[in-house]
Amino acid sequence: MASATSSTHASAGDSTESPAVLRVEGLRTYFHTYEGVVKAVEGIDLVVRAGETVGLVGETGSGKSVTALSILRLVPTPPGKIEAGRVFVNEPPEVHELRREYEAIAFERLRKRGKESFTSSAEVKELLGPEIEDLRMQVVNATSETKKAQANRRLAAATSAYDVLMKSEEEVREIRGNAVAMIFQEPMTALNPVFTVGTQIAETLILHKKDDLIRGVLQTIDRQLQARGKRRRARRLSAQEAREQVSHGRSPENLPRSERAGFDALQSMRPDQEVCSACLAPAGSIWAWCPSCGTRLEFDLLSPLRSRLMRLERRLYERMLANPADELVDFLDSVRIVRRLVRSRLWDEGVRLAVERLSDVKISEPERIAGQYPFELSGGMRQRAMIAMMMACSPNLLIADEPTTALDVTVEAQILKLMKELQTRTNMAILLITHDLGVVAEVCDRVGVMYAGNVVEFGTADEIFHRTLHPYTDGLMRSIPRFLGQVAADRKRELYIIRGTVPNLLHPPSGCRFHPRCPRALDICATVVPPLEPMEGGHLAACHNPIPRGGTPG
Amino acid sequence: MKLWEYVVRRLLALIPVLVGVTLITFILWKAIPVDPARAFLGPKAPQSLVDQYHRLWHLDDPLPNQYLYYMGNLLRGDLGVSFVYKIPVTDVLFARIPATLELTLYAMAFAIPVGIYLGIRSATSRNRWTDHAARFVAILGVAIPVYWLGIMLKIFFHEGLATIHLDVLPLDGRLDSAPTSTITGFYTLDAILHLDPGTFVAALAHLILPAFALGFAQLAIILRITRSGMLEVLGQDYVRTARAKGVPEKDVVFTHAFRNATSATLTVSGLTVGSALAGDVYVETIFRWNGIGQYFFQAASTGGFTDLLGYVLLITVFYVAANLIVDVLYATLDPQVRLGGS
Amino acid sequence: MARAVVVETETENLVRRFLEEHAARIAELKYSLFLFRKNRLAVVGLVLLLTTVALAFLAPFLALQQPSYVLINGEEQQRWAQDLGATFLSPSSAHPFGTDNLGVDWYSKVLFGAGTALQVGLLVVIPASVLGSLLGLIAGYKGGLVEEIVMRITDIFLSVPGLVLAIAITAVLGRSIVHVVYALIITWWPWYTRIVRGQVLSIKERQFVESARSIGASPARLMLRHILPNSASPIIVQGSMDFGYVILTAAGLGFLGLGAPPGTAEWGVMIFEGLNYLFQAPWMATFPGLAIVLAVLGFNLLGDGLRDILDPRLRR
Repeated sequence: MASATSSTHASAGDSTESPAVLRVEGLRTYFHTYEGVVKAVEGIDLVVRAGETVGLVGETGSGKSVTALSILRLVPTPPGKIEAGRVFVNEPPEVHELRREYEAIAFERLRKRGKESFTSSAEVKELLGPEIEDLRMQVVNATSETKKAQANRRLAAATSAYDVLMKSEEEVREIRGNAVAMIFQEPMTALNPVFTVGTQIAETLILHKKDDLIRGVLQTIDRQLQARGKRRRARRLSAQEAREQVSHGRSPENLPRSERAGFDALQSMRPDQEVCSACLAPAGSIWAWCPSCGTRLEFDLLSPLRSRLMRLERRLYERMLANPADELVDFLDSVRIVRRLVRSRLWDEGVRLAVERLSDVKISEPERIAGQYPFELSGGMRQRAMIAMMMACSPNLLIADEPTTALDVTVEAQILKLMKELQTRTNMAILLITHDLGVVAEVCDRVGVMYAGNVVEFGTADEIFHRTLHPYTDGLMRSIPRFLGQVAADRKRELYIIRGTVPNLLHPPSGCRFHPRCPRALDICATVVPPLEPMEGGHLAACHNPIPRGGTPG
Repeated sequence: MKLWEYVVRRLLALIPVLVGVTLITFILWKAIPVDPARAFLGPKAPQSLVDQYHRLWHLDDPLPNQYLYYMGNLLRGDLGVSFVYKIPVTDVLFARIPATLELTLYAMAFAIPVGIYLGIRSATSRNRWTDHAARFVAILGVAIPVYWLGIMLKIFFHEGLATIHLDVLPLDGRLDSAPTSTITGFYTLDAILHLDPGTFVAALAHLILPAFALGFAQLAIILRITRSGMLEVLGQDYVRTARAKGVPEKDVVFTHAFRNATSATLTVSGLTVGSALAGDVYVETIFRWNGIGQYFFQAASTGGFTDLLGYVLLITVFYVAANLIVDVLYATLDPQVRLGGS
Repeated sequence: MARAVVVETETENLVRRFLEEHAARIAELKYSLFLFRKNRLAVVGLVLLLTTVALAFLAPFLALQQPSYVLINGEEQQRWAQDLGATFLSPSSAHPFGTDNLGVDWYSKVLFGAGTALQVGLLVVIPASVLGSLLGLIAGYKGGLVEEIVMRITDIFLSVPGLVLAIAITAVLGRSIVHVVYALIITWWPWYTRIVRGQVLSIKERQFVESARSIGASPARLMLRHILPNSASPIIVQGSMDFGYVILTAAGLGFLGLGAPPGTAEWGVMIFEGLNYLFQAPWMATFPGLAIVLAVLGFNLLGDGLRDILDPRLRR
């Protein structure tokens, strides 16, 4: 298997394409239930590169969702277990090359033991024992920074440091929501019903971008201190009121007429949108201080002490920024009530950024939405909110598990369009899991077709749709009832179905798992598992009897 | 809608219920198989006196009129005269309420937090033994009768511990000798207010056994319901989402999951207050605690009808109030209830 | 021509056909039994329960002493032979649970108490559940004013803590086991109404009810044949657990002196007597209570196990 994989990935043309954000090798996930062991994912390989959208298609039970969950180690572990495999996230190309070199060495040793492929990175690490020791010494004894960096790269390669399955729980948590994000199928249930949308998005930021938030908090404090110098309070006006006041020459709160930009923005706002009377920027009821100019908008019980309090807060946050493990901060953190107070500014800042993220996903009135609960939103908006939440930290890879299956078709189109736009903007990779071939055709650059826990075909969208190799893929294509085009002709044709049913993964068929239903099955198909091999350039298929070019299938 | 609107609505909904309860107590009053006036005055009282009381208490008026007089009295806070003590029932109740409240509060302060914590731990522990042990304790807790537990505790803490000379805890009453002056009637609180650590410790010591006996059953119930609520929530999608965001497991459990599991726990907490108020009767009898529970027992065994019914009304008010608080807390915690979502 | 002669009797044929027709149901049942056996606690519960029932029935044979019955004021009361020379004996081989202040063998009394307890349980749970469920069924199905009235009444009864109501009723009516039964029925029925109504409301909206209605089923038929069986499981679970709680509460009333007269072999009464002689004869209070615990435990574990089995979500 290892050799097949290496050739797979080599032939995918590493050097010329963008770096691989995700590499999955030999992933095997089983579920140990009381009825037996369900072999949900049986050794699959995947590569997803930056900026590309890879689709993972398959019917229910094909193992695509389990694959996605396995990547982030979210498989419920009492019944489930990742038995084997390696999942590399954000492995730099140089490290990848080096790893290949080391794995060649390790492979030789493996063969001597009588095995054919690597089960896990732990195994590789164990086989490369002496080299790793050596490299560690090199790091310690490095004479220059460059030499040290070099040695570290080699060490990372040899120890498979970028393999998610090898990482500690804490390290994995750092990746989740940060480098790799995942959105789920049911936006109705995937968002926590007792927290506002803004809070849930802010949480992602607090978890992973705390330093940025602290810097933002410091800026906010400065802004507010400055605003306090000018005036203690400002009011909230409706945009309509503000427009009237400005147009009558009576600038609210003596705002100089020269600040026309604010006025222009006012014109395009909804009449009931609330704005700050000091600076005319939008300032909904979720803000106690104006998010733009920092003037206090609500009654402040602690008003006389506020400046002093703010300066104290400033000192506290500076400490937090300087030293994440500060004892004072830890102590304050440990008392629950105090913790909420201490962190309230972090949450405010998080919510402020959350509003920005919400507008990134084209939600109108993001301020209002941020203060609402998930049940107050429609399905499409909830999905957008979830996207905003998971994209808050600009992940390198977005795993989308049937993101549009629960949505109306029109909404589905919007969401897909949104995802593509976000992708163009941030060059992120998308692993799109779906059973809808139409979506795949629209959106995906490359596609993997899964059946009963295996990837049976992999290639570009064009290759999969027009030069189908695997009989299952072919069956899928033909099963789609077609409306347009050949309507008259189709009326005469019967609906095509792949005969048989999806196999029971407790006792999967021997050899190729599709063989009982395959119109092109040969004798060998029942005994030998076909490996996923390149058939035409980058187009791979796992089949002993693939559909010939231009020919009609069996 | 705003929170206070919700509260007002709930309060208004309570009125018919409370009226209904007065109907029940009234029916019970009329269902007494003997002549209440005769029962009150005793067999030796002259018939003329009994007749006088009949007129005084409107015992022979048409039923609807009797009910109206009854309601009138209730609204004026008059629960009648105690058959047991021959003074107004309300006086007796007021004198004895602090004792019961103190006991019940301590019992619940023990039962609720411990029950919740153990329930959560039990639901999240991978160790099947912890879970089984917790479940067994929970089931045992509701199978053990309060009255029996109290007695067993007394036996154990006297006889059992006497053998190793550890029979430290006092067994009866609230204090060994009556306190000199009381402000609130809550002996522990009064001791604090009087800055009297000795009395405080003594009062606390007297509270330990009865509060435990009373609270144990409630703890079991709360543990169970918290555990099952948590198990259900932990299987929800948003818990998976939280993990997918990288939230540390402790926060996943206590923040994301528990906030959603509180509804069942909260409802049950309200019910356990009722259960505790009922259990008070037993505990106070066994531990000679001068609260309204003991009073109820006296009334029940000596045929103190007004006392009985007065107690029923008062306890109902408490119970209903506790459930109202639960409802309000519900609304505070669950935005859907408040905002009227789907 | 050769023909395999298979002789199958009438009965064998019938049995085979029955098994075939109901194959699915039988498979379900087998699965249920399998789940039940897997649930060790439930099995323990069943064992405890069966032991209690067995002891109740076998009491006359297992006891060391038998009561006699006398008729007083139309009520049958128990009388136990006293042995004033053997009072307050600690547990021994002669008297496994010791003797009481009148020299009566405590073990025998505990055994006979089982019968009383079970009878009370039965007499309360069945009427209460039937009454409450019917009301809940009607309320949930009819809706509108009927539902409002029924639920209001239910709410009123539920707003008084159960025990308190039971004590008040018994105290007012007079001490007697019969009154205890009445009082407990009155206290217990509202729960069933609430549960069943909730079930009915949710089932009403389910599709299969719509389907049945669309082929012209009458309301009564709908209620009885479609809705009720689907709401049966909470009733069964609640009923079995309530059995235990009723025993517990009835004994509690006995403890307060409101049920059986003193001297009767009723667990609650016996515990109260034990309270009076707490330090002289701790066994007097201990053993009846232990019996209550075991009986209630049995019903609870059984109810729990039933719930696990019947809960569709936990089945695979």
